Amino acid sequence: MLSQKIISPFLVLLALSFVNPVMSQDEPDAEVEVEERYSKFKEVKRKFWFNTYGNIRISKRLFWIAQTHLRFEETSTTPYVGQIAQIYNRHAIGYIYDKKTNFALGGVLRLNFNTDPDSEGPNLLPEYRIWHQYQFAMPVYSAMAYHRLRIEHRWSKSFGEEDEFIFRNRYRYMFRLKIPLNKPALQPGAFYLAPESELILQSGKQVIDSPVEDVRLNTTLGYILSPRLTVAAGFMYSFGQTLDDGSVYNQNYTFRMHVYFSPDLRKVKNKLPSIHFRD
Amino acid sequence: MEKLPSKSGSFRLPFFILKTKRFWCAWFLTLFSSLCPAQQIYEGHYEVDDFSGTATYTYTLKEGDTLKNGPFSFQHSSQENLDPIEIKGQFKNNIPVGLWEYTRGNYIPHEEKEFVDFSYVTKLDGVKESIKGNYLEGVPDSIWTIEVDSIRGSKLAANQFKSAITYKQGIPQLSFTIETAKNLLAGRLLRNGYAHDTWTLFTKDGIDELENWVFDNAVLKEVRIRINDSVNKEIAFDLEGVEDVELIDLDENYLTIMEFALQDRDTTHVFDHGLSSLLKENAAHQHQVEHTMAGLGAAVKMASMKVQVPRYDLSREEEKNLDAIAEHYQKSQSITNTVLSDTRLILKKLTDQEVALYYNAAEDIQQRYLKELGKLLRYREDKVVRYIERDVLIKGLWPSGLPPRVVVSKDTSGREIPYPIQTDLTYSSEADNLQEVEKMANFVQTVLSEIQDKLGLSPDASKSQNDFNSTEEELVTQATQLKTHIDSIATIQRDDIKKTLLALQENTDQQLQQYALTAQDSVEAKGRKARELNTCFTQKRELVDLLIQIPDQQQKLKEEYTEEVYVIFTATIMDEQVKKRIINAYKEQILPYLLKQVQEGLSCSEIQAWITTYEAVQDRLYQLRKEDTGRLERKLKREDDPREVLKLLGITQ
Repeated sequence: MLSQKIISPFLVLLALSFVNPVMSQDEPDAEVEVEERYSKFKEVKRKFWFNTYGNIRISKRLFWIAQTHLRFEETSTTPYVGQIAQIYNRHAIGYIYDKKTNFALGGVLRLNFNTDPDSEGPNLLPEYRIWHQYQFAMPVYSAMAYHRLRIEHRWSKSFGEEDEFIFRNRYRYMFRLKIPLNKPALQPGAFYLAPESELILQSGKQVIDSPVEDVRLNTTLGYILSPRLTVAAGFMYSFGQTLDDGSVYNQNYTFRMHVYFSPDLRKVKNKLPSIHFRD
Repeated sequence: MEKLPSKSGSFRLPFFILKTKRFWCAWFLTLFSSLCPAQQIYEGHYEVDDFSGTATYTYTLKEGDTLKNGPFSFQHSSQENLDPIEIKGQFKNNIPVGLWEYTRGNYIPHEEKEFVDFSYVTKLDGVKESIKGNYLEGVPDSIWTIEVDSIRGSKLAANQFKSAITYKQGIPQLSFTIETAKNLLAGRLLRNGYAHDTWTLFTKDGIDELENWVFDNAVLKEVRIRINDSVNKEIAFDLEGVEDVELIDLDENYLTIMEFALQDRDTTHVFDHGLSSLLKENAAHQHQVEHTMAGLGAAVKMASMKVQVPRYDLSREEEKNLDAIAEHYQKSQSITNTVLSDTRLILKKLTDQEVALYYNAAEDIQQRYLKELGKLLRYREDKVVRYIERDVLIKGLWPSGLPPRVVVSKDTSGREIPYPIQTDLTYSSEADNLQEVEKMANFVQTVLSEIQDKLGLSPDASKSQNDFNSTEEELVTQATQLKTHIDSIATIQRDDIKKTLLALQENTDQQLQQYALTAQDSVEAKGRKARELNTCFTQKRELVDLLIQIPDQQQKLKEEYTEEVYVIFTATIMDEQVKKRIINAYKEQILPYLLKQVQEGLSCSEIQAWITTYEAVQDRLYQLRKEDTGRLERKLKREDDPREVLKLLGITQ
């Protein structure tokens, strides 16, 4: 029958499309043993970060972001704070688009200390970054939720003698909540709980099979002393692929302490009205 | 009216006029009006509910009686009064018909006037109450609404109370609502006005059910009260087994009856708040309309939702007991009024131990015995007593038994001492029948008569104080008013203000005591001192009024020194206290220092100066908010002497 003649080849083609092409290709090499690969988690590294965050208001819409982070890590004898690992200097100019949205653009100078006792490399190396960030806030009942997108362009160098500066891009997304515990809102005198999670992806010539640089799961307990000053402390578990081998994962436990300060450098007469951006 | 001269008159009506329609119309109208009673208009002074005003209405005279017919309006308002009343409606043969509107207000004028369109206008704050609905041949018919609104700056600020009840031929029926700013009550009535089904009190957002009252054919079966999200309190009622039941109106008396019936099962006083308070307020407004209409000679019934209650008729014996209690009570009340309002005694009790003993004993009797006896008699007047079992009634009025047969007095220094009772009359504290209450009332009257005799007062003694100095009388009245005022407001104040007020009260007692001592010296000194104290008490009253404003003023000041700050870290607005050192210096040093001065006792001459200083501090603080105060704040940091702090602020005391 004519119709059968027309339909049959299509049915055959459809059936073939479900056949695994790899399997069909593998057919001739069926006897070759495939090497089984498993991911491997390195031993946990314990760290302690002391971070200061400054948002210094310089005009109605502009603010200067000034952050200094002191990051320590364990030695064989001292957990968490055995040695200094990095000193971070992050600066930027931020722009308040409206009460719930702000953007920032700036640079980072990071000082990396050589923490490997067996390394022959230099003791200290700088790392440079350009970064820009887009933050969106939204109220959820009495709490606040934040979405933060941060993109970093990064020039870094490892401590090997022959290592050169390499360029990578980082793409970071963080979701964070700040939940007031003892007050109806985030206000002076409020303790708040801030669970957060961040995914850091990377790209670059040297990034071959390790795009997931870091996944950070962190919870912080904070206290708002005044609108100008907040302190917080928390614990973070993080893991991510090593650059050299995507199947090998770093793991870290990090105690973090934060001080948030936000002075206002504007003259009194320029402060008012300070809150109506786009109402 | 055109007059038609008779045939014998000086001129005749032309014949062709008889043929015109106009002539016959005029003729019929003349005939009709001469047969009907004449309608007359009244416009002038009129009194309603003890308020005088002006009324306009039309009326007819029929057999010597005035029958209101047609529109009626009454107004009680003038430039001076701030409680205007307006009533508008219609009568037909003295029976209210059609739409009626009752509006009342109670306002306080602003202190400052505003200049508007070339005239000075005083704005008002207060409450406006308006009730409206239709009457059909003297009974409410249609939807009747009651609204109470708060007025701020002469504008409608918020609705405080609103009820809407449908009447048909005088009987409330269908579903009704009563709402306040926070809650909403929805209930249902049968065609005969019986309370029926579940009545629910919601929060205003309609989410939470706070109370449910379940009625079945006018019988309240169950009350469910929400304690919290997961706990409800359920109270069941039962009329089964009760021999006599009666239908009564659902008003405050019904709620009193239910409260008594419930008291030994539940201590939360279900019928004192919540859904009850809405029903009570509604009934109070309805009674007001009934009262007003009775005053206009047209009795109406508004509060007529029906509920069923058990009835326990009073026996002849019990009626007799109540009659006797009423008689003892009236006599006792008359004696205590005479004693406690006698200004001579008020002064004398401060220095004379004997007078103190009798006077303070009378005061104790009034507090411990007469108050509750008065309540019992009011319940009788309201016809509530017959619906409450007598033992339950007595237990409700005196939960821990009748007051013991002891009278506590005080000496001149305010120390408690027992009053030596002379009469042998006794009663049992544990009894729960009216017979014992009567015995107690008799005992009370006898003790009061003893006191009256000892004080040498005749029943109308207060009227025969011819030699009594009017300045002195005014002085005692002023002091009593001041002390009562402080008593009524002190308890709700925060601690530092309360302490200051009570110190002022004590100081007033001391001043009166000193005066009573001076009064024994010479008439001249007495008169001078009385005048001084008069002025002093006036200033003290001013000081008391100022003191109770301090927390509010402090709050306003705090708000003045508060700024809203946008915090980028949280993307929220937070309040920030600015110039903290100034506001703290006021809170922690100046204000306690100033209050301490009052607590330690200001002399009469110092009161005005104190008020001036306090006001100067307030003004200065408002000024400083706008000034550059960096230097001052640094100096304040080092200063902890309040006098120096005042100097730094530029205030001299």
